[in-house]
Amino acid sequence: MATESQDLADIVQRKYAHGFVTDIEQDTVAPGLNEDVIRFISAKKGEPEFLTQWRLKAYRHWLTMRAPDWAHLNIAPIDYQAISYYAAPKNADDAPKSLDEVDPKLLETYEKLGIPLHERARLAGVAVDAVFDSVSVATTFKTKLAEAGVIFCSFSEAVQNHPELIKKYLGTVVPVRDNYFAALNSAVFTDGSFVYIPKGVRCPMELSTYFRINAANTGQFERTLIIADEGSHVSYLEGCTAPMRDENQLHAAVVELVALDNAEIKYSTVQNWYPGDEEGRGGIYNFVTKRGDCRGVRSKISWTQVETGSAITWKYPSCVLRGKDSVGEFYSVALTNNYQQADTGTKMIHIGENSRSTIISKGISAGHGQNAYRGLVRIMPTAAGARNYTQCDSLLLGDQCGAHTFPYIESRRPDARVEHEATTSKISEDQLFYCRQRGLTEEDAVNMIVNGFCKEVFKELPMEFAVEAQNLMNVSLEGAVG
Amino acid sequence: MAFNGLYKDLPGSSAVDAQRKDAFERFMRAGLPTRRDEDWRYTEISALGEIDFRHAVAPPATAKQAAHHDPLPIRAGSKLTFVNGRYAPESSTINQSHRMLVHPLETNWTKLSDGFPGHERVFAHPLGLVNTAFTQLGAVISIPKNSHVDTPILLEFLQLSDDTLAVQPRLIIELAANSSAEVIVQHAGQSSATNWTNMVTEIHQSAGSKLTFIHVQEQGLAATHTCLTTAALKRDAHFSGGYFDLGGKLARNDIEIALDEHGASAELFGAFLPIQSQHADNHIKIDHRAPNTTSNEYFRGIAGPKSRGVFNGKVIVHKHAQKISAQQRSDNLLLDKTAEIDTKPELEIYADDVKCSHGATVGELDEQHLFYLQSRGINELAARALLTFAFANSSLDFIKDEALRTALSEKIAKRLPQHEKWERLT
Amino acid sequence: MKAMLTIEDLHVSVDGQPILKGLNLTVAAGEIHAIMGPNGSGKSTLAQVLAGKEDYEITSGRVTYRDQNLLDMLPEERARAGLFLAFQYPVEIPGVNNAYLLKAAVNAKRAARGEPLVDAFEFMQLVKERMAQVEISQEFLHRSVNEGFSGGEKKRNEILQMLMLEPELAVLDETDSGLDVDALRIVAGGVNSLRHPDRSMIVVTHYQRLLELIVPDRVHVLANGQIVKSGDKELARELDERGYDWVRTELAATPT
Ligand SMILES: Nc1ncnc2c1ncn2[C@@H]1O[C@H](COP(=O)(O)OP(=O)(O)OP(=O)(O)O)[C@@H](O)[C@H]1O
Ligand SMILES: [Mg+2]
Repeated sequence: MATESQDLADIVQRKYAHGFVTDIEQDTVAPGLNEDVIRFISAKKGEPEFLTQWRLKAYRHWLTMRAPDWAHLNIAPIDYQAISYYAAPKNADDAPKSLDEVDPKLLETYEKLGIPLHERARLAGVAVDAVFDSVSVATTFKTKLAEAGVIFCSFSEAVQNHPELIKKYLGTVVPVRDNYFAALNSAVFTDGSFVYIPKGVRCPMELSTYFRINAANTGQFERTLIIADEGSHVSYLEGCTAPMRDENQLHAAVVELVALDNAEIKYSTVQNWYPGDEEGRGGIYNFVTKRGDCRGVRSKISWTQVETGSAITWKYPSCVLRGKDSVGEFYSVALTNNYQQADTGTKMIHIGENSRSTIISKGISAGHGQNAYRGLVRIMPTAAGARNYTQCDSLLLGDQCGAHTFPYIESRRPDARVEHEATTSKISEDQLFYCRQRGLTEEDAVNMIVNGFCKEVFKELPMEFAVEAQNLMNVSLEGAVG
Repeated sequence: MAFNGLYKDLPGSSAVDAQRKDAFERFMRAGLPTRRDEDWRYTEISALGEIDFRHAVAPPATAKQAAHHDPLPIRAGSKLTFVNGRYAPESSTINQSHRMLVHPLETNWTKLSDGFPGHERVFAHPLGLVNTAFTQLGAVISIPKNSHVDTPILLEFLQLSDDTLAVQPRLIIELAANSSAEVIVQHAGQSSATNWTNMVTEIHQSAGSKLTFIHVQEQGLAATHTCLTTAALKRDAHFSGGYFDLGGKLARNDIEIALDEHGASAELFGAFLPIQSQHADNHIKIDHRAPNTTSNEYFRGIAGPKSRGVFNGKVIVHKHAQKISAQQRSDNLLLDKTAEIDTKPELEIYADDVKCSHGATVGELDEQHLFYLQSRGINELAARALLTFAFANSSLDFIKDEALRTALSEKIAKRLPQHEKWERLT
Repeated sequence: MKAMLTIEDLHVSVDGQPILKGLNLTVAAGEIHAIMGPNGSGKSTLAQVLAGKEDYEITSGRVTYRDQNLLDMLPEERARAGLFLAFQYPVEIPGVNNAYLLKAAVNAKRAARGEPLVDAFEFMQLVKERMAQVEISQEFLHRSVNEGFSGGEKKRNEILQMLMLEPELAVLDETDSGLDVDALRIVAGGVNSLRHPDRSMIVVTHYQRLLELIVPDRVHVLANGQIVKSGDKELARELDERGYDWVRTELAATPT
């Protein structure tokens, strides 16, 4: 039918709803990167000397590295001297003690984002750490968490209040030399979140962070570190948005997770950075290094991501399965539309005996979007009885987009078992017709089928996020289901 | 680099000469690939540059020597024998009806007065450049329009010399419209020399033609074997290619298939058995450049002690190539703690009306199958050996020529450990 | 009597191959028509064309449904106008909840007719009632549409959807095949419960036993792309006894 492709285009073509700029005074360092800038950032944050040195070491190493070019991405060269590496809201020096002290404009921003901080936090029982550009502005529910012994604060605060934990764990999962963007992040990161769950504690609520890049010409380089001590459990959520701007902005974050014996970390992301316009102008370059270290026996790390934003996504949340019987999971939905490009997937490194991993990846390509799954499953000779199962499906909406699958499987254990299955196709005409015969418009039918396609991943998300993810995916059943 | 010495006084027409020069220069500029090259991630061949290879200069071996190895059945077909890098006419038999079709290169350089057909892919590949620069032997097979050659044409390459030879065969197969043929290439090494075979096969298939191409590699355990097959298929042409890697210290097959026109199809299958400190790598690329093209890949790998098996299958569906079906299967067994399997089935898709899938497994034998056989009174060792054999053997199901299938099945069985355990029972 | 559906000289091809070759059929409101005919004669083709499947090329003919030109309407418009097809091979839709689809379908129809949408409570009441009627366990509500359903379960699910949507014209394509004896009775019961002077049905079947439970007003034989013989319910009985060869021989004997 003639209208089909047009309808499909309309369905996947909804305007970016979070593209507004908040007008507040910024405390910004001039663009450019050198050792002085790094010292400035470190001094501005009152960091101990070991951290300043650590940053400088990372910077010096970064200078010797080249940007990776192996991903299936078409990236315009980035001028690292044109980026400003520090932008904090002016009144950040005397940080707010409670929500009442937070700049009302900021709170308004969060309202527009659909996160009315206190309302949502209270209703959903979510503690929110909101990072605005580079600095954490408010953390709620600190007291309640403190009672349970949980430390949940901005990275800067952790540096001030828990330097021993930072010293012990920072860079132990993602070393400064790990890759180009991780090295850059290590040199210039400005803030992020820090979580420590003590032995035997089940974190009493979901922890959540919202990231937003607001200032022009700034990069965002946040750093997150989560440590789950023996027998503890935590679920952490992360959301991101950025205003609409014509130029590309860089986001190079590092997330490190450490799970000790019998500990479990569940890390969920809904990534909705500004993807650029219909012609591919602007949008965030999202180059993120996320890695979890299952250090302890029976430890478990589970990544769930819904990636709908960013002009370019380069991201491989991974698990190093060191512990005996440790478990790694990766559930991903990635949607690329217009001229978006994504090269995303995971690495599961099996070192421990009987370590197990599951990878479920759903890619949706529309418009001129290019969507690649890249995954590595490596079974080391020590990983007796290791198991991996990977299912990787791609859906194509329209004939101008691309869907690519690059799995790497490396096994060095005869008693390990690795299974990988992948499919690529367009939406089934029969499914569409069936739904339309039941009275659904083509748009609703597509939404419903795409949503069904992603179901295995969405069901891994915490409730509030699952709803947001569905909305983001534009497969809301509103109107059809009521 | 050791290649400089090789480059002198090579045969061929003036067009071939010009190509050699160009290829040689390009190769000397680019050099051998390293593991930093994504395509060579799992296979290291840079050591070849250190070895002082010699061209085949020894006089052709006698027919008696050539009869040494374990031949493949060719029914009433033809056999071209090459020994130590030279054509051995006295060991060869060319069927009367094949006379006009099969031309050994050494006596037919005139066939290449326009040069090698010059598949651009050969020139894009480092080993294709090496072969173009140095090749001295091989054959041109041309099947005319509408003719169906129903007996196989076998090319056997025997390595009997203890010299450090570099043998660079070139095979050109051209099928005119609606013709069909079966070509078998067998490499057998009986020496423990560190020789190197680097073969290029260029296949050009016109509309409606059908080619069965079987490659059997049984080099000596110190030999390096690299080969590049390129095939370009026109409308409704069909290519069926089987690759069986049993010998060699290091074996690498590059297979590049271009489905250039509507309705073209390819099936690729095979088994690689690096069992005794061996390394085998199959590197396949299938380009779906036209609508309604189909491809199917089915490979089985078994790795034994200190051995490594690699499978890399890439399917590319180009823009506007709609109504595509492409399937890939890579199933692998590890027999030992010091064995490694690396598999990388890839899909790159730029059209939407496609049905593409791939599946890969690496692991050990199915416990339920083992249990079933044991419950029928077969001891565990024999059951394991039998199942391992059956695992590899299933890659032969694509071969229609029954005598060939049986012969290959026996070769596979002999390579596997403990094969006598179950053969006794059957 | 008021016509529900009128098909005039319908010609349909698939991939250039003519399948329906001048089919005529009129179904009045309140009537049940059975269509029988050998495998491959074009029964499902007719059903799919009525529902608006795109793969079929309508080379000529007219189809009028409740005074509207059916062939001009999108599949979803036909559905909302009360045309329901129970598929011969219902498709599986992974990840899409059965209840979602049901509710979406009911509300799509209500919205199109300017009726108030069904709320969650009302919907659950209704669905439970209908599920009991076709003896489907409620766990099926939370499973994906048809995914992993047995053949008979899929058919019952089709009938459940029909009961929820209360169509004006239901086309049942071999809804009886693959059903056990009890399921056959349940399906027939479901169909009969919808009988109404303003509602018509076209029942495609190979078996007389269904037509003993759903008694048709008219029986047609579709062969070679045309209705070649029509009669009352006695025709079905006769076909059951004598097979299609009898019709063919008879046709050969009567010059047209
Ligand atoms: N999409 C299609 N492509 C090719 N041929 C088709 C297609 N759909 C139907 N046909 C052919 O059209 C003819 C009629 O098919 P149809 O499914 O309508 O038969 P039927 O009467 O319902 O048969 P049955 O009793 O077996 O269900 C058959 O020969 C069938 O093969
Ligand atoms: Mg039918």
